[in-house]
Amino acid sequence: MARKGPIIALVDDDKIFQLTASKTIKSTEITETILQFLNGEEALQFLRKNISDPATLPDYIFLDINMPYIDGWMFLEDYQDLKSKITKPISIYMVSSSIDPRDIERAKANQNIKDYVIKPVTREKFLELLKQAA
Amino acid sequence: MPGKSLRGKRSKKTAVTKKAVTTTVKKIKRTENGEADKSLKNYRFESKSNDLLFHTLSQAIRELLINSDTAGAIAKGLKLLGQATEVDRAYLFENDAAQPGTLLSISQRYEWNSGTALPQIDNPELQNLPYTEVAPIYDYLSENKPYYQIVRKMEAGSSFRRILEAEDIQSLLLFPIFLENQFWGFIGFDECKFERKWTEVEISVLRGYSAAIAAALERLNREKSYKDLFDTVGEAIYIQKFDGTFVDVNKYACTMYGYTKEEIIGRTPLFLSADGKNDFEQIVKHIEAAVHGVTQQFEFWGKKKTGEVFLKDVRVTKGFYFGHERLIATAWDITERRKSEQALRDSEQRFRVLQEASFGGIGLHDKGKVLDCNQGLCELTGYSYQELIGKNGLDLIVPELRDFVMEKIVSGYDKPYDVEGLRKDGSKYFLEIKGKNIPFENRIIRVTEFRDITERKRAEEKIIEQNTKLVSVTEELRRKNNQLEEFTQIVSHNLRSPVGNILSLLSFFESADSEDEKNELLNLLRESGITTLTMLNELNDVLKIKQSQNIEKQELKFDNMFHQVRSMLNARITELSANVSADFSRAPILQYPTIYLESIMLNLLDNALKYHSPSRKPDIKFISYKDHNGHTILEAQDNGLGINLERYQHHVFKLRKTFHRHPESRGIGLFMIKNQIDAMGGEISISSEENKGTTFLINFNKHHTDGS
Repeated sequence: MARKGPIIALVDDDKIFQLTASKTIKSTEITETILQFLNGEEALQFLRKNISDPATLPDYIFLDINMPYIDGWMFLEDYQDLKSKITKPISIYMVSSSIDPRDIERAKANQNIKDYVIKPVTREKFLELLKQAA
Repeated sequence: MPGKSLRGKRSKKTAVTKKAVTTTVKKIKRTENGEADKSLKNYRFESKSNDLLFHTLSQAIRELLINSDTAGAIAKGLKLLGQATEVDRAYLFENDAAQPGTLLSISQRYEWNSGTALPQIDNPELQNLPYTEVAPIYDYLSENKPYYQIVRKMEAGSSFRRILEAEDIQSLLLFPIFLENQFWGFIGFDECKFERKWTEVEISVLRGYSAAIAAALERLNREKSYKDLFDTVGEAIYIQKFDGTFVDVNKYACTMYGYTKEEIIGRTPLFLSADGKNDFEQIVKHIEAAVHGVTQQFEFWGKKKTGEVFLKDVRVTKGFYFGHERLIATAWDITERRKSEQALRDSEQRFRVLQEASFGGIGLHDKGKVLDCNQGLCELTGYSYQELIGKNGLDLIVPELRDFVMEKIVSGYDKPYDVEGLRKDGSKYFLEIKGKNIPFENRIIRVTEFRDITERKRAEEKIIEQNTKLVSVTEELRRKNNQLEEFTQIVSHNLRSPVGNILSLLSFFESADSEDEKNELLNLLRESGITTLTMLNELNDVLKIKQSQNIEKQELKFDNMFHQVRSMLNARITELSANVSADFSRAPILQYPTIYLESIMLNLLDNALKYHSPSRKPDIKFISYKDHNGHTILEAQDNGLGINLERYQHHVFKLRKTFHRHPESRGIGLFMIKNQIDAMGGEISISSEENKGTTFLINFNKHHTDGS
């Protein structure tokens, strides 16, 4: 499968969201490369492993908040430590079903978060986010 | 020199009258020349004149005695004696007051003149005439001896002879006057007609008169001294008859009232009394007692001429005054003294009032020994004033605090502090003490204020109690609020998620091309539906717990529940060869809802088994005990994987949070039991170390104020 478009990472423990989000992103035909992680720890391990290989690292991370083990907030804490060693610019979107204002405020206050997106995410929203970032 | 010119003038006058004098002298001389009848004549003259002389002397002395005008009496006496002795002059000289650096001198005071000789009373030479000019009379007179001399026989050219000759004196006789044994002056008699020889009788009569004058002058001096004393003394003196009538008053008495002596004399004390202020009945009694010889002292309200009223102290004694038995009253104004006394009393009174009005007790003490106190201290302690005075103030404090209080007294501590007081009846009360050292009559004493603070203590306790309640209510509210927030979080994250998924799946289903795809999506839809339902059920459980705080409690035995739970998980325990033990001996029983305790113990044991360390045999221990607050505690210890609390502390009891990539993790157990424990007013906490183990601690009664 030939590489096409940016690399996108979905970090979410919700397998149905992983499925629907992948399908939706693929339907935009912006990219074919979608990495799937079921919790923050898996995503962090991937980042650490490929830290010196920008071609493998994702351009976009869609990060869920509520996950077992390492949740979205904990991922961001660790990401902050990794960030300086990553040469590639990565856009992180927080993606959550929470409409709790405290979550939204907290996300917006984090400098590594580009935006806070409420689930479910439509095709149009993905298009907008990916174009915006590009 | 003025003296010289005056003498010159006088000499002329003398010359004018000389003829007449000479004539008289000649006539007498002639008679004297008849030697035959001389002795008889002399005898007759002498005997006749002797009678006359003694008679005259008695007359002159009588003058001195009865005449209050001593000067007039002396003048009259000199005249009578002068006439009787047929001398030309009779006079009196007084020594001038001795002044340092000047010669003792004399001045003529009185002179009688026969009319034949020139009067010398106005002769300025006879004023302040030094004794040196009239030597040698001083030698005689100052020795209390008479001096008589025939001028012609005197030392020629002496100043004295010259003076005598200038006055035509042929013979003179001088007698000294001694007052109080002091040489005071002299009286003298001049004979200008012939060279008279003084007879024994003449000499003794005149000596007698000089003594009488001395006595009169002495009396005069004494009276004058007395008068001066009477008038200069700084007290008012009233001489009264026994009926009270004023006979005499001194100057000060006049000044005191503003009346003249004349205005007062003849009146009675009523005249000087302030209207209605004196009890005259009482005063009359005092006067009667004084008349009987008992000295009386009393106060008397006087009224001045100006109308001003004042208070005086009066002392009345019976005594003699110029020959009469009188009442002698002395008085002094005590208005000012009384005013300051009154001011002092007023100030003391005000101090008393202040002390009495104070709501606490006040005591003055010296190292604990009570010197004075107010009524407040009596009321506070139950002792009477008399009982408190002289008492050791420490007796008012409970025995165990006396050393503490004494320390404060000794160190002069001046801030309030609380102790426990001891009343007379033995009852105790909360007491606030505040002492202060003050200088008093050259030593340091201590004023101590006692304040009954039982009410305040009670109020304080009430406030503390209320505050504790408030804190507990606040805590309860805070916990409820936290639970609400948590609930929002659960709904927000856990419930919206699957519903969102369903919507997404439905939109894919609508645009699905193949049957396979549609089937797959339907399966996913079903899965999401089930997840949603599970979530709703779990939420329902939580809500049920939260709403069922009044769920019935039973008396449960930890031991029984533990065995029940243990048997439920027996298969796992056996499989893992886990060592599961328990010790509930220190707190065997708990009042708790059965299903909750079962849920708690089951979850804790399940977790301990589930997250065991693969590298060692599980060792799990449950114990119960009472903490220092009497709260029942349950501890569940394991030697399992442990949790990195630095990272996961805030996630431990949250829904759907797991800390291990463990297939059985659902993240529901701890969340559920925490809700149950919270609902019953308890608390669950965790301590853990990764790869060492975890201990859960449950305080079942943490938020119960009654300790049940």
